[in-house]
Order: sequence, then structure tokens, then C-alpha cells
Amino acid sequence: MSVADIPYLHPGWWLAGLGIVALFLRGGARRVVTLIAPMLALAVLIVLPDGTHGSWALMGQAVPALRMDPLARLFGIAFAIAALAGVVFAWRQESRVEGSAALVYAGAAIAAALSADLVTLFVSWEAMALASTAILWSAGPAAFPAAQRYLAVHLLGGMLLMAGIVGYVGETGSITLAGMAPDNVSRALILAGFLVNAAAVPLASWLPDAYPESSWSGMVFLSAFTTKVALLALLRAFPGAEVLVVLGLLMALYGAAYALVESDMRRILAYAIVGQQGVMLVGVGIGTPLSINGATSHAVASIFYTGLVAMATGAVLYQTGRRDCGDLGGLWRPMPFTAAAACLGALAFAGVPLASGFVTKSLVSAAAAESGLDGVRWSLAAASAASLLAAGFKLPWRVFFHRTAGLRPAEAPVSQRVAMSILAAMTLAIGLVPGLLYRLLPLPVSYEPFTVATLLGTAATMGAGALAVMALLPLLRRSNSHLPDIDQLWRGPGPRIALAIERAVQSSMRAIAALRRAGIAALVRRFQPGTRGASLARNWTVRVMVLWVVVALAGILVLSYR
Amino acid sequence: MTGGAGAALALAIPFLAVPGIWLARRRPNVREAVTFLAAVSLCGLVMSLAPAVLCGERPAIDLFEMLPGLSVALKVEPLGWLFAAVASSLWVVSTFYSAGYLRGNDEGHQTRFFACFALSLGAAVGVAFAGNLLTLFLFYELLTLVTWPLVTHHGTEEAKRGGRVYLGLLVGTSVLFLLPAIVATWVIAGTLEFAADGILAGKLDASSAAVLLALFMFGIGKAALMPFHRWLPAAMVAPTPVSALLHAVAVVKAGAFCVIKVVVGVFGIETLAGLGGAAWLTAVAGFTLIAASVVALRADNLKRRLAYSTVSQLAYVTMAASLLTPLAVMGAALHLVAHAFGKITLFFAAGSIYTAAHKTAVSELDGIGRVMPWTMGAFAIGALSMIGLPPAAGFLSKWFILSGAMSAADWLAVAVLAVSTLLNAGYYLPIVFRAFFVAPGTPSAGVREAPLAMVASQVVTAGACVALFAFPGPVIGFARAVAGG
Repeated sequence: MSVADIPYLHPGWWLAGLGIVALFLRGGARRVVTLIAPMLALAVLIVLPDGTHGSWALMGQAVPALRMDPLARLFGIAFAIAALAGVVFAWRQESRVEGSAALVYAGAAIAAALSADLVTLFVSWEAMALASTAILWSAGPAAFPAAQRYLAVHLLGGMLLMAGIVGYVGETGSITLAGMAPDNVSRALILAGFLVNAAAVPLASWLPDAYPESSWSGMVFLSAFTTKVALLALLRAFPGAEVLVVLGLLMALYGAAYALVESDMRRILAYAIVGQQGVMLVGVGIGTPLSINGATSHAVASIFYTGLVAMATGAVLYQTGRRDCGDLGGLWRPMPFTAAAACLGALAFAGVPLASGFVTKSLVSAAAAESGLDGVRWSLAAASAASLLAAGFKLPWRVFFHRTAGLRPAEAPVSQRVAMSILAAMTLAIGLVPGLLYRLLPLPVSYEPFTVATLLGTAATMGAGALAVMALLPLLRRSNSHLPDIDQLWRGPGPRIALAIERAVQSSMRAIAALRRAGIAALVRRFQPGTRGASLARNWTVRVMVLWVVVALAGILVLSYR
Repeated sequence: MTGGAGAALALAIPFLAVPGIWLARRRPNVREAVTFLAAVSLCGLVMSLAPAVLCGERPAIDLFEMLPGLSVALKVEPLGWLFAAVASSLWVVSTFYSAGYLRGNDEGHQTRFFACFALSLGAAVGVAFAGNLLTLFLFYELLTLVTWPLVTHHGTEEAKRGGRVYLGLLVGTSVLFLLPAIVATWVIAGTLEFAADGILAGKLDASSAAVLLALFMFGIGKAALMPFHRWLPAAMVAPTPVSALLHAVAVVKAGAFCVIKVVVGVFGIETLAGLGGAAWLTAVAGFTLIAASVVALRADNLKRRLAYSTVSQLAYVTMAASLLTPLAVMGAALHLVAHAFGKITLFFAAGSIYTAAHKTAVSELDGIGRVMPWTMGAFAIGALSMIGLPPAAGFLSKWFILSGAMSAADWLAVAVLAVSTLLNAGYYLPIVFRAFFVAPGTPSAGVREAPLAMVASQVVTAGACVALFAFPGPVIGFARAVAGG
């Protein structure tokens, strides 16, 4: 009996289950469980052979418990590594709930990556929404409003997805997760549900709204899973859907633009994540083997470098308690290790050669060029230049190098440095030896990133970016700056509508109650002797009564006479 | 023993328990043992009927003839079995809980409480196993009458006022609308016996069907369709185990059961769909669903919030039935089960909080999860079930109701389900957040977990919510049989 024959060896659900077990443990035991669990999942993900494993009944249909294929393995391994590094990073986190929720979250993400059917995918999807909300909750009451908005968006996305799935199951009779085109209502709903979690415009603002409010360690977990699982789902179900190209370009530009204006380091990172998601969506939307590989590898690489930047900013937040770039600066001297990690992550974000973002993002650009989509290619280049400016330059510059804010915090603790080392190693390895990642991709790759043409192209983009830095330096220096995001449209009116409905219900109930009381009062008055209009309580004379009795008897006589 | 006799015995057990409870009135432990014994034997008896019912048998028995051609008759079919199974198994759990609650709060009139509780279970079984509309109506009215002393248990002016609204609305709607609807059905169809595809096929035109359906739907006041929902919040004056009985075990479940029963067994979903359907009912139920949720959103009293949540959850069942597709009917039947286990867990938790900490308002619950982790953990599971999220039973029923709505291409129902999911999360999850993630405002010294009997009961019902999600096979089998597939 091989590993493959053990249906219950599902790395995702085991990870989630151990996360729940950890909730009931204290001290050292909890630490051991939270550390061992992602390692176990990682080991299983590496050794489990390709194919479907196990079987259980869902909604009356037998489905495989999990499906292993190159895509599932790649994402699963990346999720497990991110979870492991995150657990190490969060070593000093006091909140037990956050640690457990993070493992459930990671486990559900792995389960989603391994799911062969839409129902398992959906259950994992909702489990992720709940676990990530718990992570936001554990940041305390200050994060609660953002957490509620986050949950509302994800429940709405979940309902779109669920409606789509049940419609799809009704039409096809199949619950298998397979490629489809968004050509009817159900499939369009499925696509919409995926897109909500992928942080697609116009609903992207949940991400920069919520992630920065999490704890110093929470954002590390949050930035690793939800958006990437959504991308994986899009890769499986909607490769080549053209709408994704348009949305992806909008996201790339929107993310970069907002990141440029924003001055909160965590919100800069959040907008940069949206921008990167845009690049990946473009890759899924182009739909050629090269672009699919590009989107896949870019997603995997970004799990590591986004985590790295999230850790570096988290370490700064942990040591200083500050988030706005205006209150930070000059931290490279007290926190050199963190500064180096942040720079590496930021370079990867910006797609600079030798860091991982370059070798993956250029696949997407090459795919656009190969398919003759020059507009797409140049828009991507523009977004790249902007993200170079925002994430690659502005974030590390304002936090670590720009004029000192006079802060003298200690360097990040050992646990945080170890965690950053893990992700930095992954980022460098992919950047320096792209073949390592390329070999694991779902489709064969014959792409060489380090050619003269790509390097020149990148150099040109960067030159443009550098010129833009000179020109836009005053903008980059701004502090406490936010742009109103799209979510203002519903954050204001939503609660007001609810209040109006409630008032209407309450007042109509009061009106009904008043009517009823008035009716009863009128009735009582009629029976009340001595009041005016009490027609049923008058004293009648015997003569009148006898008259009426005679009338009644006569009536009966007439009716019964035949 | 034939199946029909089994049904009659199931009906008799709760009534037989009443003299036993009364005789043991001086010895509370014996008295509760009698209740417990009756509950366990009822539950076992109902369970023993399961295989036969699932195989397509419909055990039936005529008890006596009331009017020529109209008997009080019992017939066990899948939906009734589901209701009886839910009611009887929750009776077992709530006996434990009630004993803990009544003793923990030094409540008076405990014998009357347990006797009336047993009587209401008898009435509920009568409703569940009713073979025709007349039997259904008799036990439906009996259920109202025997639960009234429970609602007014405290005997205070407030309790009497709540009891008046309770009795007034339930009896009023049933006499003014339900009884005429039954008489009309008798005149039109010539029979009151339920049939798998209805008894009104070809005997109604579209407008009279709409009128008759309206009489039935508003006549079944226990399903709390707006504007006849106020008896539920009014009944909140009762002790918490009574709320559990009303909201989960018997009363509202009888309402939901009757709605499904009338739509499927009297009208027949195909007949009704052919007559232009029940679009108005979908709209009224959808409005009730959203409006009740919005009221719950702003209710600070925990039990009031739960009560309006019930109004909203009952509208799920009515809306699902009004969609007139087999999948939605399955969803309605599953929701009857799922809501029962979820809501009883929530009421148990509310009662535990009251017993242990004497708190009734949501805004007082800051940090209560730290001292009452089991109670609030169970509450969280119940809340997930209400929202319809995994890993809880509510997910299952929402899945099928939504399937029905999608297959009927009823976008109104789909939108209502989506909005109500958000609203449910909006009024349940902040309670969980307060309990676990907000530091307690005032140091509440000496607050500990509720008594063991209460904690154990709510852990069991919360566990049942998860178990129904993880092993839905048998319940789905019954629900499918309800929908005739």
C-alpha cells in the first residue's frame, strides 16, 4: 500500500485539523504542532504521486478526495512553504487564535488547490474566508470594521460562486472542476465569484482596505493564499477568457497608481499586490501555453516575494508600531537585515533581473508579444515601470533610507529573520536559476529569460522608471495620503439602506398595532354601557324585544315552510 | 407490530408520560427520569420507522371517524418522519438542558413545565404523522394551546401580555384563514387526505388557487410570514428552554412542516406551477426574510435577535417551497432539520449566558467567550449554520434551496439568498467577535461556564450541526423522498 492508497492523507484537511487542535494547546505543545503541521503537509505534497486519490460522496455524487497534478503540486508546495515561513515569523505572536486560523487558512488553501470538484473547491473557499476573517479579528476591535467589510465582500463572492456552481451542476449534471467558457449565467457567476477573491476591479478595494489592518504577522498569511487560490481556480476553469486580459490590465494600472499615491507602507504593499494580480490575470486571459506558464510561475514567485515584503513591513510594525511612511525612515541602520530583505522583495516586485519577479513576469510579456498583443505588452510595461516606482523604489526608500525619523528600534528578532531568510532564499533561487521553477510548470517551457532582448527591454523600462522617479519625487515624499477608493460608493449608502428598511418595517408594524388597538377599542366602546355610541349596550324595552323575537320566529317559519 | 401501530404508539408516548410526570411531582429526579425515558423511547420508536419509510412504505392507521368520511388518521411519510425525528431527538437533549436551566435559575412550576413540554411533543408528533388536513388542524391547534402555559410560565404581567399576542395571532390566523382554507379544500377536492402529487389537480383555476394558497400560507401562523410574525418576538418572555421548544423542537417547525406539506401534498408542486405558480409568495417570503434580518441586525437583546432570525429562517422554507421545484422542496425539508439543530444551539447558548452571567444584551457580551468558551464555541457553530457556511448543516439546505432557485431561474430568490447571507453574517458574527476578541469591559467576577447539563446539551446539538454537514447522506435521502425523487 503506497501513500496514494490512503484517502485520508489529505495534506490540506490535516493541516487545517491540526490548526484546530492547536487552539486547545498551550505553550510548547502548541508551538510544536504549528511548526510540524506545515512540514507534514509539505512532505505529503512532495511525495504524493500524480492522479486522483481517495473518494467520498458529496451532494450525492462520488468524487475523488484529492487530485494531484503539476499545477496542484506547485501551488500546494508554495502554500505549505508560505505557511511554514509564516508560522516561524509569527513565533512571538501572542494570539492563539491567529496561529490556529492561519493553519486552517493554509490548509483550506491547499485543499482548494488539490480539489478535483467544484463542491470541495467551494467548501475550501468558504473555509478560507472564515479563517482569514478570524486572522483579521485577532488584530482586535480596531480592525473589526475592516474585517466585517472584508467578510461581507467574500461572502458575497462566495454566494456568486455558489449560485454559479449549483446552476452549472444543474445544467451539466457534473461537479468536476474543468475548463469552461463564461458563456451563460451560471458560468459567468462562477467567473465572478473567482474574480472577487482574485481582487479584480471593481471589487479590488477589499484587499487594501482589510489586509493592512491585520496584526504584524497576520498580513503575512493573508497575502499568501486567497488571491493565489483564486488565480489557480481561474487557471483551471477559465484559461483564455478574454475579459481577464482587460480586467488584468486595469488592475495592474489601478494597483500601481494607488500604490504611488499611498503613504501607508502596508497599503502600498496591498495595492502592489493588486497590481501583480493584474499581471497574472493577463497571463490567464491570453491563454497560450507560454502565458499560462507565465501566470502560474508569477503567482508562485509572488507568494514568496510578497510574503517577504509583508514580513519586512511586519517586522517594522512590530518594532516601531508605525505604518505611515511619513513617520518612518532611516531604519536601515538599526534594522539592516530587515532592510535587505525588504529591498530584495521590492526588487522582485518590480521585476528587476536576478530577483524572482523578473523571470516570471517576462513570460507574460513574452506571451503577449508572441500573440501579437502589442497594446497589452506596452500597458504591462507601463504598469511595470509604475510598480518599480511604487513598490520597488518608494517603499524601501521611504521606510529604510529617506531622512531618518529618529527611530532607534532593535533589529527584528531571530524568528522573524529566519522566516525572512526562507522566503529570501526562495526568491533568489527562482531569480537566479529559473529552470528550477520552470521544470515544475504544468506545460513544457522553452523560454530563456536572460536574453539580450529581454534584458534591454527591462533596462529601458527601468530607465523610464528612474526618470519618472526624478520627476515624481515630490509625490513620493507625501505623507498621510490616501485616494478615495471605489468602496466609498457602498460603504456610505449600504448601512443607510439597511437602517431605512428597518425603520420602515418597525413603523409599519407600529401602524398595524395601532390599527388593531383602535379596532379593539371601538369594539369595547360599543359594549360599554353609558358611553355615547355604545349601540350594543343600550337598554331595550320589553316591547321592542318581543317585536324582534316575533320577527325572528316569523322568518324561521317562512324559511322552513315548504 | 405493524408500522401503523408504531405511529399510534409514537403519538401516545408523550401523552402517557404526562400522568407519570404529575405523579412524580414531589421528586424532581424521578420526574425528569420519566420525561427522559419517554423522550428516548419516542426517539427510538421514530428511528425504528426509518428503514420502512425510506423503502417507500407509508405506515398508516385510522384512529376514529369524526364526521362521515373524515377520520382522525395517521400516516408516516418522509417529511413527517423528518419532523418527528427532529422533534423527538431534540426532546431528549432539551430535557437535560431544561433540568439544568430550571434548577440553575430556581424557576417555579417545574412539573407544569415538563408536563406541558411532553404534551407539546405529543401534539408535534400528531402534526408530523397527520394523514389528512383535519388531523393536521386538530394537532396544530392543540400545539398552540399546550404551549401557551409555557409561554406565560413566569405569570408576570409581561408574560401574560406576550401570551396574549401568542395565542391571539396563532389561534386568530388558524381560525380566520386556515380553517376556511381546509373547508374550501374539502368542498373542492372532496377529500382531505394528502397525496404525493396533490389533491387539487384540475380542480382549480389560477385566481382561486392564489386565494386558497394565500389562505393557507397566512393561516399557518406558525410559519410566521409577515405581517403575522409578532407572536415570535412576543413569546421571548418565556424561559429559554421554552424558546428552544418554540423555535427548534416543535412550534415553528410545525409551521414550516405545514407549509411544505400543503404546497406538496395538497396543491402538488406541478399543479401549482401549472396554475401560474406562487411568484407572489416568493416575493412575500423574500421580503419577510430580508426585513426580519434587518430588524435582527439592530436588536440588542440577544433573544430578540434570535427571534427575528427565526422569522427570517422560516421564510427560507416558505420561499423554497414557493419555488415549486423538486430541488427547492428538498432544500426546504433539509432547512427544517438544519435550522432546528442550529437554532436550538443558539438558544441553549443564550440560556447558558443568562444562567451563568445573567446577561441578556448583545452589547454586554464583551469577552464572555473567555470565561464560557464551550458555550460560545457552540454558539459560533450555530451561527455558521444560520449563515449557511461550512462546516455546519445550514450550508446543506442553502445549497439545495439555491439549486432550486437557479433551476427555476428565479433571480429574485437568488438575490434574496445572497443578501440574507450577508445580513445573517452581519448580525451573528459580531456576537462571536465580541465574545472572543474584545476584552471584557467590567470585571465580571465569578462568572463561570454554565452547569454541565446545559454545556453538554449545547455541545451535542452543535456537534449534530457539524455531523449533518459531514454525513448528510441519510437526511438527504429523506429530503429526496419528500421531493418525490
